[in-house]
Amino acid sequence: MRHENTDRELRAIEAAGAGDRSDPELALIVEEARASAPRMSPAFAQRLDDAVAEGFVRPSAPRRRPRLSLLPAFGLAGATAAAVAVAIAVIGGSGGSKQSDLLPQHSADVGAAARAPKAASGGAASAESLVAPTVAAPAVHRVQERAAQLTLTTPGARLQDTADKVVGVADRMGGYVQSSNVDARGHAGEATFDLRIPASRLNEALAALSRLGHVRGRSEQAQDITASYDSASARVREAEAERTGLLRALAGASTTSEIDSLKARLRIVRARLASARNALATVRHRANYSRVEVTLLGDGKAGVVPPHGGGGSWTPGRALHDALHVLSVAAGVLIVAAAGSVPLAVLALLGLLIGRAVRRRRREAALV
Amino acid sequence: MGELVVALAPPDPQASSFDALYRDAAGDLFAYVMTLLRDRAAAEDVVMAAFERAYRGRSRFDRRRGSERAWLFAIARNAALDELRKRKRRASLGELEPVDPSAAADESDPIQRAAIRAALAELDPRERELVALKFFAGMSNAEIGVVIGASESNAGTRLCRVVAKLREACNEA
Repeated sequence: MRHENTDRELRAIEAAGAGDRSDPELALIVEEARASAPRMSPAFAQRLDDAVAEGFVRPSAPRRRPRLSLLPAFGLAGATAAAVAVAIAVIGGSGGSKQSDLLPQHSADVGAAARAPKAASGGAASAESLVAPTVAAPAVHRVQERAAQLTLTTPGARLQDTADKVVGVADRMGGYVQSSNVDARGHAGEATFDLRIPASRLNEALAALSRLGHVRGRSEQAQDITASYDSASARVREAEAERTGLLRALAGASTTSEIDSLKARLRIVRARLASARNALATVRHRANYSRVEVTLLGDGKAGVVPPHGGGGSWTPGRALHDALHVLSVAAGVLIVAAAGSVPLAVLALLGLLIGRAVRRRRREAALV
Repeated sequence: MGELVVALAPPDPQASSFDALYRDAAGDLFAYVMTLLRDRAAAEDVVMAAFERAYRGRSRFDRRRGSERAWLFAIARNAALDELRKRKRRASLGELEPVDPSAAADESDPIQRAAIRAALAELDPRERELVALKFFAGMSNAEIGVVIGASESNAGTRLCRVVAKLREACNEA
């Protein structure tokens, strides 16, 4: 009923607004309302006309277009920075092939340090040396112990074959296998090797080993053991000098008790000398032979590993492989970023809606 | 040659459309904004700003969301309310503009007319706004709804209440 009244009243209002006078009261209201309408002053009307005719030109008004035009540039710069960061992260994190490009200089330095004593000592090795001396006089050269760890992946079916090649590399370089463990289980086997490789051929050995599979990780360390070497050498020299002195004293001894006493001291000194020589030999062995730990992982996806795999030269094939890897990781980053941005977008949308509602409410509040 | 090119160039449809809108709505818009602000200088600034905003944003006008007039009045309304907020002043029943005697064609029923004027002066800002949109600007209820952010039926209902108030004042005279 009320709805009908409202509709009827609205129709009457529309009619009165259109000039119908069938409802005199309403016609009067419309007339008076219209009569109360404020009117523009001629001066303002002229000013408005001029502004419209000129297209609201505001020469002094700062334009924001330039800032907007920089947006694509900023976007491009950001995208490039992100791509570079991803590429660095991927190439750097994918393991040894790239790291090996960075390592040779360091390795060469370490190798030089280790090889230098060999050249300096040459054939003038001490008669007491238990192993071929490749370490020079302690005061002149630094003595270093080098070690390396290498993680390779290889098709699971070729794990045993590759493990044999690892042993072959150790043999070929004049080293040996300290220990090994090969666990070939289908396509996901694993083998570990603890190799001792002559320090002078460490780089060569690492390069050869890297060619046996895809390098997942590679690291090298060098530790200065000059102090240990000097200490062991000094103990040997002291024991030798003491033994020589005792032998001379023994040659000049005349009494039985004196001879017995010298012989007893001589036994002690000989034992000490043997111990010192053993210690020196151990230190020399640490300097002459580098410990190389090789972990060989069987990769179930045999096709993934390129046949030329390894951490050797960076061929176009590897470059393509790395590029695809970079793209796939970048795509992953984008997907993760998109997933993360969805809630942010929802929050931003909510904030926008709430902001609009608040602004509208404040505006309306002004009209009370 | 340049003049010839200019002469042959087709008119910008958006510009001509805006010109038509300006011609059609300028007076009504000023009356509406003046009704909201009750301050001639402020109303002039707001009307100028509203036309400028509409001119610069005319490419964003979406006909599906209402008529050009309603869009323009909504812009002006936001600007006027912002102006009110900025001044930290509430729209109040300030001094009314003097009514132009020539505007009313028939000067019969002077008592009723006086009662209606008094009732118009006592309307609150929201009611005054509806009167301005309906009787100054001649908008449909749907257009009023677009301007004030309400539905067509809600705008109509509110308008009926205002007219009822004015009728009551007329009857009491």
